[in-house]
Amino acid sequence: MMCFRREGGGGGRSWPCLLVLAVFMILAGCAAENQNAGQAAVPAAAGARLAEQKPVAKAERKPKFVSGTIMAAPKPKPKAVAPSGQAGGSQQSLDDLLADEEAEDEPVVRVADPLEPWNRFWFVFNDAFYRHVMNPVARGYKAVVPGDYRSAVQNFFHNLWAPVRFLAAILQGKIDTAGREMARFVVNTTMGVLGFGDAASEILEIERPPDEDFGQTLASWGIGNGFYIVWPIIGPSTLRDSAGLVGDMIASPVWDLKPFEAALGVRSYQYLNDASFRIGDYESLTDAALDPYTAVRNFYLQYRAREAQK
Amino acid sequence: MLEAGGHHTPAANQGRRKQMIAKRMIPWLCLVLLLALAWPAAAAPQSATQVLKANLDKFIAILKDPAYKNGAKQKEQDDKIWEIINQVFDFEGVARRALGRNWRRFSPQERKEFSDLFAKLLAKTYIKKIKKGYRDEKVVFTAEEKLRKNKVLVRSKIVRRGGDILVDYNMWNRGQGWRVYDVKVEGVSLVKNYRAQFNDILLNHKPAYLIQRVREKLAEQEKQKHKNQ
Repeated sequence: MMCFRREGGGGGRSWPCLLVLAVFMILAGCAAENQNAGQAAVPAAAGARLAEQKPVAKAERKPKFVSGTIMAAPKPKPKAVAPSGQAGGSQQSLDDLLADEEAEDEPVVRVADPLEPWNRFWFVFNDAFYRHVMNPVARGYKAVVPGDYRSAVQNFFHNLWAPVRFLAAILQGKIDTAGREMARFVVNTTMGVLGFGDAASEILEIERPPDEDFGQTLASWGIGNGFYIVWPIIGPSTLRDSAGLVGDMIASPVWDLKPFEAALGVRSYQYLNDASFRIGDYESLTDAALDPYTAVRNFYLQYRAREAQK
Repeated sequence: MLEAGGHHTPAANQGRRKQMIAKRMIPWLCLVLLLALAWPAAAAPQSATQVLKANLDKFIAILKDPAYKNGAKQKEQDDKIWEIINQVFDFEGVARRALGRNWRRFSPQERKEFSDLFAKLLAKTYIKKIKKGYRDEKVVFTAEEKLRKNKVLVRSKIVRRGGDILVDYNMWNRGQGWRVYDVKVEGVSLVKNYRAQFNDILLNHKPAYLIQRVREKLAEQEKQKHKNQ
């Protein structure tokens, strides 16, 4: 090191040099660590997932263009009414950021609700049914039946509905999805032993495609939601999705069981088993809401809009 | 510095001293220069994902800390958690987006009141839920997408049996570091969900009424908390 050559100054004066050198090395070490940690953690995962995420990102961008054309001119920025004492700089940039968002935001999914009194009535009923009947039974079921068994049952039912999803995918022209559903159905029914095991994902790595149903098929044909409707026990739906549910029932093998009570029993058991994995989710949504009815309605509409995009 | 056959004239001495000073300066200058180059790297800003992950880790550490198992220490734990949440969530931005166009109807004082109350409501509700329901689920950060100059989308998933839950965080940096301004669970935006509720309420009522509703809801949460304790 250069400073060590400076023996002329005497050994006593080399310590500040060493101190600076030490500080520099510590900083350089920290910098290297930050960069390494950052670069290792994010791109390792990002690189693996980027391929998957790109199609989703593209789909996300589509609605942005749509809302961009609907709102021809960007909204005038609201006058920054900054409370006295607040840094003008940060207030200004918040306005800018929000103006961006407003221009780009997918419009909050608006569906007419002409049957609101009926809907609110059944909403209250379903809420009570869930909290006082469904939830306790699901908790009891979960306490008694081990998770592995319940997962297996979930797989079984999911596999059973494969023909319906296959049909929906074909009707939407999603050939790749249909192919995967078919392949998974064959593999899981045979290797997965009647569908209890998800051999397709675990052994052959045929990943589960997003679920398709007849309601989404109708959406892809350009049929609008219609209006919002809440059914007893079944829960929130729309005119279009209700037609979708009926279509699925017709196509499904489960509903062909005679007597009808058997089919109902099987479907109810599937519902119970699925619910055992989602205990607490419904409460999370409604407990934090000011108006649970609107919260659930908006959740359902956003969720279905998103599913239709997948 | 003894040179062979040194010339010790005063002029030469002065020249030599200058040379010595200059030579002594060089290593210092080099070090200062190197420091200047290293400094920006050392202070390299963390990516949004790193900020989120760091705070999440801190949050989980406090959640699992056995020192807070005692009922009496709950308030302390909540305060610590609130500190972290306030840092990584931009509640002012969340409140403004949740009100959307209705923000203009609020007076400056009402805006502040609303932002504060809404922040408290969100934090208290979700902290309570997480405290009750957390069972060591792992959070995996899957991707970070750049949306605009100062905005990113951080994708993550909560790994749990019965199906993973996809959670996306919209984050922006407006001079206070990366902070979250929207959370999407399974594609459903939290801000939009509240906006739908607030829109409905504000169609037929004044801003003060909404503030009152938020306050009532907050009080309800407090009452429930004390009941459970």
